[in-house]
Amino acid sequence: MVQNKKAPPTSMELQHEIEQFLYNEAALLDDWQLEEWLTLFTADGTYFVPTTDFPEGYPEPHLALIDDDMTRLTGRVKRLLSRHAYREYPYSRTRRMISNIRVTGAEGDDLQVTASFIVYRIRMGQVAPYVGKYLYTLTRENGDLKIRHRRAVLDLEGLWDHGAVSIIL
Amino acid sequence: MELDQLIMDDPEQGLFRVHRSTMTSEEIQRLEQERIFDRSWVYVGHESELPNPGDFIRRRVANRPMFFVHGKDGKLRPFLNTCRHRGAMVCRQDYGNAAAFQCFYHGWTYDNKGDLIGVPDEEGYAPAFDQSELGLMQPPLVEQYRGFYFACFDRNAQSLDSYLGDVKVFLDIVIDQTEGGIRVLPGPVRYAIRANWKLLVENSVDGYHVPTTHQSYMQYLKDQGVSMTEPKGRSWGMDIGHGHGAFSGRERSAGQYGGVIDHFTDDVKVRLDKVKAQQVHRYGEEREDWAPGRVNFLVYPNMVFVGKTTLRTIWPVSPGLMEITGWAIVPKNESAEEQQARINEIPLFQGPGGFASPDDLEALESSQLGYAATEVEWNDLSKGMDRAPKPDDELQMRAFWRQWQADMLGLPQARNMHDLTKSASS
Ligand code: FES
Ligand SMILES: [Fe+2]
Repeated sequence: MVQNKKAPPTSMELQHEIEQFLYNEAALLDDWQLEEWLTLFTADGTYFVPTTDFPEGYPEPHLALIDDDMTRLTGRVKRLLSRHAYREYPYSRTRRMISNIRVTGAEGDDLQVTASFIVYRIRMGQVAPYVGKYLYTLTRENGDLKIRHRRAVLDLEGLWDHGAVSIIL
Repeated sequence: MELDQLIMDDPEQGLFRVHRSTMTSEEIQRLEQERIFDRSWVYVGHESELPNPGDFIRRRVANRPMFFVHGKDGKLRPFLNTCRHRGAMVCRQDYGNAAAFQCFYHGWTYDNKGDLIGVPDEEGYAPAFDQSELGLMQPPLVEQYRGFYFACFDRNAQSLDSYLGDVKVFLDIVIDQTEGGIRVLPGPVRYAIRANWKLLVENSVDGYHVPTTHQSYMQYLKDQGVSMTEPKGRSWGMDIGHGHGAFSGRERSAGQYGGVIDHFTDDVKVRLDKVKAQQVHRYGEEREDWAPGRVNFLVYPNMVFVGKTTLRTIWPVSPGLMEITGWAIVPKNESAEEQQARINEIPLFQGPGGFASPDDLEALESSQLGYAATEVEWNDLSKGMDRAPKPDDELQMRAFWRQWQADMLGLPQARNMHDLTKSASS
């Protein structure tokens, strides 16, 4: 995906609204308010994390790290909050840095948004940063921004420091 | 601790213990490299990863940088990835297609058969310098079993065929899921675990931990209306010989695709039923629980099949750190939609971003941390020693450890080939 493609002009108001939306989302995730976080999605929402070998995808059937529709994503949240997701209970501490937020396209109500992230996961004496970018398709429902597609693309070459993607990126 | 004291194996008493220094000692780690990884047949790659002449992939095998190439003569060769001149890595990408590989350091060039075909300023070398002897080197032994390529760094080793022995039956089951054979897909998952590599070997054939460690995974399946049951009277753990081991998986109510079956179109469901029926037909009554269902097995020492849809290799980095690569396997002759659905079910669901593997990681790292309490010296692996082995017993782990001990001590075969005869044979 070409990143340096010039973004179409975005009003300061829209830019501000999107930034606040993403910061709020990050705060919900860092605070483990996962059920609330789920309400940010549309009913046909998706959450996807590609493998580290093919961050930009691959034309043929292939593995992903995460490929959730809302059924599986809801199950993921339930699992994470169940106290039986042992990799994440006791919960890890996370801190998300989100920047370089750009609106890269718009079609009808749908907005294409990209952002850079560093998500630190801190647990059991380890501090491991996940580094990458978000590709969002945001849309509007009753005037509110909602997430239709959320793709977290890692810049890592492997999960060498993390072992897993046990938190929500 | 003496090397031959590390395992307490007493089939008479039904006791089996492994000393925890096997998981923490630098010295044992060094001996494992020398006596296990440098002498066993180890997995390199699958032919389907290199469909066209010139295709290559790069990977580490037995602690050596290697790359695996489809030559223009049609032969597949694993090469040691080091220039014959002064050592630089000749292949510097994970995937690609190339007619030739030029070492960027001084420019020596090798073709995709490994021959040295270009040396800048050739006139600078004396007649004794023989270019024909300076091609890329391969491991001393390279053989394949039905598309799975293995290497061995001990030129006196037995043949791959005799090394694999009965585990070939299990490889056949993976390969012959459908009549068209299989593909190992590019784009594996790559991750590390801060634990000894043998803990993941054990875990990969461990049915005992499933109800507790994977409680939340099971709950999700249950929430989706999928139930998991032991196929009656047909579940087992198995010592396959030469350290290889297996256990039978649980039958899912919705078939092997379980959780996502509802996402399939009717066409796909019909097709899946057909595949399942063919497998029952092919493997007969006796194996019908493991041919169409799930079976986890270990190809000693470090190649694991999780079901018939995932293949992983486990390489030690240090006593407390291992690196894992996990590939998805699909039947060649299924449609892209069927293949994607299959991938979405097992390898992805259970992978490092899934609902199960993260908790395995936690268990293994937790065990490794526990070993710092050196007053507690022994791990227990005796479960099921006194009965016909069930999938959640530990026979398949004992099989691994018995071979491990034989290799470490340089014995021609394991001291105890089995648990008590009565349990091993029933
Ligand atoms: S090291 Fe490769 S050409 Fe010199
Ligand atoms: Fe597990």
